[in-house]
Amino acid sequence: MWVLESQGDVLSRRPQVVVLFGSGLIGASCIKWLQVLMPWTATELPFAWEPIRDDHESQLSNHVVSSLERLRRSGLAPRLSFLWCAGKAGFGAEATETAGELANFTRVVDLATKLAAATPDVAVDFTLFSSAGGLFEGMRLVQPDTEPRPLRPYGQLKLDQEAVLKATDSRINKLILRPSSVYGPVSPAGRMGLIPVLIRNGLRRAVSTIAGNVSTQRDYVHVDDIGRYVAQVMLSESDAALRTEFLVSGCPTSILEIVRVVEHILSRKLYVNYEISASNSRDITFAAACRAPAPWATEDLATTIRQIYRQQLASKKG
Amino acid sequence: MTQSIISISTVTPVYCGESYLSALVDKLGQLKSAWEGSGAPMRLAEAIFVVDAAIDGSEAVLRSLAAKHHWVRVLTLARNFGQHPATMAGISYSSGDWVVTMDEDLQHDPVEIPKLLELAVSKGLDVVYARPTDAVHGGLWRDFASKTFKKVMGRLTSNPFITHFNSFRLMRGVVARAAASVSSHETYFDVAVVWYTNRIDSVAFKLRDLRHAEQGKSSYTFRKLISHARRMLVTSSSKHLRVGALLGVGAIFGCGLLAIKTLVQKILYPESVPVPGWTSLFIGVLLLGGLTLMLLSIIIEYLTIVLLHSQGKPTFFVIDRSPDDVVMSYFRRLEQPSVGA
Repeated sequence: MWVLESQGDVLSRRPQVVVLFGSGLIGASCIKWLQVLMPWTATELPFAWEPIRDDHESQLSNHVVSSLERLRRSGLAPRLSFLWCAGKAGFGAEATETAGELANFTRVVDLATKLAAATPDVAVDFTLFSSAGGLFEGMRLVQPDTEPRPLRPYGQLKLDQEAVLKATDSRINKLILRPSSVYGPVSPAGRMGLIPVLIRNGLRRAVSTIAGNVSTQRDYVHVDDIGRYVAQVMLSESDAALRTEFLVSGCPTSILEIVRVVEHILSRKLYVNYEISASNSRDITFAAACRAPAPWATEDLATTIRQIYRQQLASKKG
Repeated sequence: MTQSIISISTVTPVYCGESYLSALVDKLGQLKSAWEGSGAPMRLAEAIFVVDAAIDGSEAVLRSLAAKHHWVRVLTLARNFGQHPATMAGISYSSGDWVVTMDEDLQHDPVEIPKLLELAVSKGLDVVYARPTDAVHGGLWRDFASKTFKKVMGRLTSNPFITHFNSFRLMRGVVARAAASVSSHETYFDVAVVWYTNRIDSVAFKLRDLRHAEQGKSSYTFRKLISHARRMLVTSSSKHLRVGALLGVGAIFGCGLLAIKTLVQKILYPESVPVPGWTSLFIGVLLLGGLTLMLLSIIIEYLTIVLLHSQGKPTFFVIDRSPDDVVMSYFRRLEQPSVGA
């Protein structure tokens, strides 16, 4: 868990403290992009998840209060931003796993509420990373006003997290982000999406097992596009009490298309085993109308796949 | 509403720039502070320096600069790959909305970057090159040769943008990264850029090759010029291959006509062909030659398709130019005279 502190700049105007939960694929990209756009002082604090320990919570609370106190000296009331991109439960998680995660999230939201109450001069906002795939599994061409209908505990967890956040203190501005299928670089540890798995296994000439069939359609977004957007959102103060945005490309892509692009880039055939079952080969696609407003922008899929491939080739872990 | 922040990355290949790098980073730092201080929507997000097996102390200088400035990023290539591959490596690692490539030796002044950007957003361009107003290398002959070379290559490849090509360029990030991603070591990067966009222009600047002017040294040699020409031709298009195919088809017709002429000659004027069997042999050779050329032209056509496919030339490319409005309104605000009290 990271706490980032900034003196503020022209765009953000105010000094700011960002409390970021989860430094996985998305969290790391958000930190990278926040640091690209302006200098921050970053501190990593211990934060155990199962369950959240009282001493860690009070340590975080004290750290944030003292950071805000320090920033107040500039003469401007600071902003406090919470960013939740944590999550151990994957798409196939059981209800018991997701229950613990919801309890943790509720506790963090309560902490934000307490801090908002204790610092009335501070503008507090909370950004939650939900999941477009979890909420709209099996739906094609989802529209901005389509009601979520989760089919598994993971999707229900995301819906419940959204509900918890919406029900919090009205002093907290809330932003719910719903990313679709996120892909990033090949990671030696941790979960990877379809694209990095195909690249890694393609280079190793190993078999990739895909949960889905060749015609399964998904919506892919690169993690750097998300990091860049979130950093820009966090640096811009919004008056909106509640916003829900889809971080999607609006361009459905079939698994076959991805396999063909990767094969072309690697200049070799991929060994693919399709694990087809009714539950994992559902399409999840979004209409272009769902796309978040500017500055949300998505990089070309083939370009980012080539970049991941080259970076993997350049790394010693290939 | 979220205010767009337009991020800009610079990419500089480094080979022997030890004495220029601190000054270059200082100038980039001044530009960064100027934008941040003036409320500009642009941010100089990162200055990427690609150390291409530098032969002097450039890498150490860059490491110390990176320790001082969080926005300075150093990439070290495993061996010397050359200026173009180093530039492409830097672009691949960049993440800015716009990417500026510039030389290490202060030939390209960062103070000119806003001018490149202003032209790009005002005309909806994707690539803007710097165009030297006068002799860059301090020698009329060298600059004449450079200009003539570009003109000749422009004609040979039917690429009207070759005359603009310069290593000081501003490119839309998505275009730059896409072009870098399809470029191999034999691809001419600027030609690959043209695969993605035709919205290309240039803006005139005073550019000066300080290294050449002061030390009489230049990294460009005649051999490199030939290598550039070869890569430009290979990448530019398959037109020269198609010329071969057309010649093949032309030769078939020529062979056919000659065969008919020889046959008619043998029938009407048999005494003009005294050697028995010559006519049938000659016609046979012509037909086989024509057939071989025709098959060769078909192979060339297929080769062209495979070449374009393997080079990664895109079938289409989607681009979003809407964020330019934010930058354009900033430049318009700057142009408006301030209202006094």
